[in-house]
Amino acid sequence: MKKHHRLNDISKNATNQLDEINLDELIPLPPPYDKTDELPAVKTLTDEQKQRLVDNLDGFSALALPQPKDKEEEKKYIKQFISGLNKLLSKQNNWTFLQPLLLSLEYCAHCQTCSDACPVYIASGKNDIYRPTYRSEIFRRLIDKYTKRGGKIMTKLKGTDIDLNWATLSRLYELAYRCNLCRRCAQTCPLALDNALIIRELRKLFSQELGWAPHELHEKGTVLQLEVGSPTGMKPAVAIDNLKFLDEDFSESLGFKIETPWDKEGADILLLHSAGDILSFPESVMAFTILCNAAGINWTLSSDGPGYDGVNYGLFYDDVQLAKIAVRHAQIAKKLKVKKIVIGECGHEHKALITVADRLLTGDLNIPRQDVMTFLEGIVFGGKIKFDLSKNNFPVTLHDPCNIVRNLGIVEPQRRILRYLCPQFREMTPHGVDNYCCGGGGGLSVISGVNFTDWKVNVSGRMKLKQILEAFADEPGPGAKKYVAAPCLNCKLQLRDIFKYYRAWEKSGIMCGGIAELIVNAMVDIKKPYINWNDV
Amino acid sequence: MSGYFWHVFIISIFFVFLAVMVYRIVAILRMPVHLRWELAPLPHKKEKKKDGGSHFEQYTYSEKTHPKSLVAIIVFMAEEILLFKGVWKNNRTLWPFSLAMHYGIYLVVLSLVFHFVNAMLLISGESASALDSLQAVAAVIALAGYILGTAGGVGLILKRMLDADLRNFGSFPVYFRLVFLAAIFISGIIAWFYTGNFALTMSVFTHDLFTLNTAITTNMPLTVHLIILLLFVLYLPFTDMTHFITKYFTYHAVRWNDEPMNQKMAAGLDRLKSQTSTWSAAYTNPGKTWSQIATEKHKDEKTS
Amino acid sequence: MAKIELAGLMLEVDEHGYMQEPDKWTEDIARAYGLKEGVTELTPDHWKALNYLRSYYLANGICPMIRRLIKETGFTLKQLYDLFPEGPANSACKWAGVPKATGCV
Repeated sequence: MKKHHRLNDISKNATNQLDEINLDELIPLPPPYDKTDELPAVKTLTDEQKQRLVDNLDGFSALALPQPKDKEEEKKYIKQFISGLNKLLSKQNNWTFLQPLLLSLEYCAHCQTCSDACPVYIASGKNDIYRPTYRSEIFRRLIDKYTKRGGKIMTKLKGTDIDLNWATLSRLYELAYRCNLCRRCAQTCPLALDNALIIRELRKLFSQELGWAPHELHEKGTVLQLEVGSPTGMKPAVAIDNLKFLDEDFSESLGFKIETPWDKEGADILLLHSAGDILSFPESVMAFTILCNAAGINWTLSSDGPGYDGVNYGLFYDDVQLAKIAVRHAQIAKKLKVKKIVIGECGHEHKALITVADRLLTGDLNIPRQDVMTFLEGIVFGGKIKFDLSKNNFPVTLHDPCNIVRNLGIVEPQRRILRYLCPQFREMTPHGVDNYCCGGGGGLSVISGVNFTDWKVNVSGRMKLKQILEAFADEPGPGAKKYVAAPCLNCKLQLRDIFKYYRAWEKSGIMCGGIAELIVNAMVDIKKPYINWNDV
Repeated sequence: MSGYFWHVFIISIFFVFLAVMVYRIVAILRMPVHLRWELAPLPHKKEKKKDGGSHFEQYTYSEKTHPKSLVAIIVFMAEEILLFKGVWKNNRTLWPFSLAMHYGIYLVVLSLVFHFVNAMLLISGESASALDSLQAVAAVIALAGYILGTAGGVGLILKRMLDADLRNFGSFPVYFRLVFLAAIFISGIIAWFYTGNFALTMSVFTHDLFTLNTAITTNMPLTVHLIILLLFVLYLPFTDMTHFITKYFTYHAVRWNDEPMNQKMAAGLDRLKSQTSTWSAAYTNPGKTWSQIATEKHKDEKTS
Repeated sequence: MAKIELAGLMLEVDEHGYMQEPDKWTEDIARAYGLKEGVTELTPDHWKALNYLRSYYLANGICPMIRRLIKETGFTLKQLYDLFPEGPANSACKWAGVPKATGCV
């Protein structure tokens, strides 16, 4: 059911919710998830939280924004926002993305071609507040009004006047975190404009000027990573200890010695995992160890923080942290004298390190960086490991992480692997560069404050769940165990949240994991099954 | 209108048009080099795979240089400009109106080129038969353009007013330019039918323009049409309808810009990074240069 | 920052109810958390897990991996879910006064 909102509504009634989510208004899911009364109730803010936090958008809070104390505080933030707008549009403070931003702001034809491409907008049943252009157009009009000469008069004359008050500001802030930065909108825009970029810049304004950013991305994200080595809080010694434990544990259960190398100077490859995998999906990390060793690759991990954690949340919300972390990663690789950095199964790490930060790594920091898909492809088809193709004889489908596939155009290598090693591999629809985001993109995967997870599993992840169920429609029940290959930790976390919420393992026998585990599962030398269906 | 009115009017408008267009393009060209933000598929790589694969798929990518494919770019642009492929795929109900209106513009512009060619033939005094044929073609193209443009322009106005998805995003400037465009096409139809031999009249008019003939004449409907058209040409460079040129930049400078680092770029980047940041949040280290901020030292931690 | 009352103390917690001041933890707090999730008594099995979690956290600054917890306590994952309704990460860590895990976990 379509819901229309006038752009001006954002500035009205600061204490009322702009809209609310009703499960019946979202697009329907295939059975057995089609009966909304059989699904868990959506978590809402408690009365105590509603007193303390701002709740004026859609009934969800990603950011736990505290209510302002008084009108003075509101005015202060509004003033800061305007000063931030000016900095965002200046060469001095935003040379990093000035040209793309200005072009996207100036040339929108308001044709709405991008809206139907947005998974969040479609999943919500076409609710205007989730339209890519809703946020961008409001932002655009604020820029026109508050930064251009004569803006206040011109926008009144043009009928594009939006008041920048607390309602607008607080709602825009939350809205900025209802976008996955998946860039499907950018892909479809006939003028090559990019709404995801506009939203990223909006987030940057909030962070770099007002100091507003989700603490999961900032204080407990990039700041923690720069301080101790990883947003997980894992210090180098703990990382080494954890890997040692895993080496021993897996060696014991698989029956041969598995050892992960650390700090090997002059190695060919520095492998840059997302360290969260060590804690949440250790079989993925160990799979890489097993494969690299079996293929005779001269590789290493680095214990020099953040050299063992390749994530770079700065990509999602600012330039300062993005630059600091990318430079640190390159410096560590340089110090270790490795020939190349290979990025692990982490989507945004690919975009951050291979393309976006490319122009930040000048001089001798410009170390070659390689993606995980071609790396694994080289291992699988390199001839050094023997595979038994019957070991992966269960339905497998492939989720395409936005940052690797849509952004970098790396589409075929992972498919060649899966077609070779998984006799029941099938594509979901759409797939490749047209695939949908898992719903956890843009950093949303690690943001779970208040009741945001419920929004992610119901709204932003809805298209993905639908795709997965449709891909497995030939064997829907729990009796057939089915694997969603998702070569990105943030995607796996989002899928894990979705599957847990809908009890997808119990009802449909679906679990997710990376590609490395599938490869190891097919190795002739691994006598026991590597993929543990009971560990769900 | 006689004397030098048309000459002065038209020349001034074209000068303003050119000056503002050049100013806008130069403004874009002078924007600083930005961080990479490309998006697959990149149609200009010769190793392009049909499903959007890129050169990253060859894992020695950092060791090779990757030539561009002009053919792929031209094919992509042609599909967009002539077929509006993106709008067809993703916004089908808008497609017929958008296509009609844009073809109205293309054909009218084309007809102007024909009028110019015919005027040159008149000046040279040659090929009377060629002139006749070309004028016939010009007349057809002009009328087709006016009709299509009217259908598209009026259609777009109605679509934007009646379609709830589009209505919220309309505003005075959006409707104003559509009305302006529709006025060009409608006045064009009227002028075409009112004027006895439209193409001949336009050839002579253009001829008189270039030969600075003060006896240059038009009839009332044609005068109205030309004035609306010329005022639009004056208005256009001040709006985002200049996307017909700036599309080049949104594609080449951003979407398809995956140029790896080279010396010239590195020098430019070093200059940019030596600017000072003045953001307010404490963690951004205001007052330091971008280089300093990115390479700020922190305590080196080898063990816990 | 939210506040809740547990075992007679006003504690600062995050939006999911995890303690933000780990040094204020007491065993009574663990019992109070358990009660909130419907576990009326903490058995020696509970304490085995909670004590291991807390001592690991104090030594290393984060929660231990699930595998480690399983190996050190001897419990299977299913047994852990039987003891702690929301599981090791969402219940046990909370009851042990260990902050919620951050980052991609």
